Amino acid sequence: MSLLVFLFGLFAVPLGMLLSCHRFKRRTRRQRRMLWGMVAGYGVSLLVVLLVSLVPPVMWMPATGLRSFLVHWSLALLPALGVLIAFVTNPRADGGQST
Amino acid sequence: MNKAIPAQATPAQAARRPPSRALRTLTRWMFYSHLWLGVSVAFLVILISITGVLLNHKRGLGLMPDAGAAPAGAFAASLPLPVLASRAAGFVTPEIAASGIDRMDVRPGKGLIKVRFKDSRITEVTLALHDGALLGSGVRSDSFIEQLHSGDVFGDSGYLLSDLAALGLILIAFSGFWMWLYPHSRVR
Repeated sequence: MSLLVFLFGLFAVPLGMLLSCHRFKRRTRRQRRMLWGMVAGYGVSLLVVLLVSLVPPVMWMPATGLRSFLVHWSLALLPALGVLIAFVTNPRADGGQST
Repeated sequence: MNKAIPAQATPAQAARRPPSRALRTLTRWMFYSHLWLGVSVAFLVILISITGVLLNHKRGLGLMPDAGAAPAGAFAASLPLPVLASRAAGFVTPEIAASGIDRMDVRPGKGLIKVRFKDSRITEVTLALHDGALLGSGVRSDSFIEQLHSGDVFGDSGYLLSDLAALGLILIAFSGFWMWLYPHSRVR
C-alpha cells in the first residue's frame, strides 16, 4: 500500500499538476490559488522526502515508522494539504471570479 | 503575405522558409514529451543524482567504516567462514547478531573479511582472515544509499524505477536536442 502511494505521488501527482495547469489563465482566482498550493506542497514534499530518506542513511524498517511514512506518503499528502490550505484561506471573498 | 521562395533557395532563404506541417507536428510532440517526461521523472533523477554524488564521496563523507591496516597473514591459513561469522557476531550487540548476516566479503589480497549484518543500520565488522582479530567495526551507510540509488530499496522490482528514470532522461535529452535544432517551429 505504501509503495503504491509513493508511486502515485511520484508519477500521478506531477502529471495531475501538469493537467490542472492547462489554460492556467482561464482558471478562477481560487482555482489558481489551489494550483499554486498544490505546486508548493509538492515542492515541500520533495525536500521532505529527500532529506528524510537520506538523513540518516539507514534502512526503512518497521522500527522507523515515521520515517517510512514520510517517505512514502509525503508526495501525495503534502500537495493535497497545499490545495486544502489554499481552498480554506482565500483572502478575497470574490466568489472565484476570473481576472 | 508570405513571399514565394524560389526552388533554388540560398541557405539564408531556406532558413527563412516556414517549417512544414510535419516538422511542426514533430516538434510539438517533442515539446510535450519534454514537458511531461521532465515533470514525471524529475524527482527520480534528482534522487539518483544526489545519491550518486554521495556514493562518489562515501569515504570522504565517512559513510563507510575504515578497515584500518590489516596484519600480514597467508590466505591459506584463513579460519573457516563459520568461525569468522561467529567471531563477528561476538563483536556486535545481540540484537544486531540476531538480525543475521547479509554477506561476507573476503579480501584475500588484504588478508581481511568484511561481515555485514542485516540490521536497519547495516553494521559491518572487519576481521583478519588468519586469526579473526577485530580490525574495524561500524555502520555501512553507503549500502543504504546504494540501494536507494539503484532502486532496490523500493522492493524487488524497484530497479525498474531507476530504469524508468534513465529512459526518461534519454528521451528528455533527445527531445531537448530536437527543440534546440528547431527552436523557431511553433508548437502552440
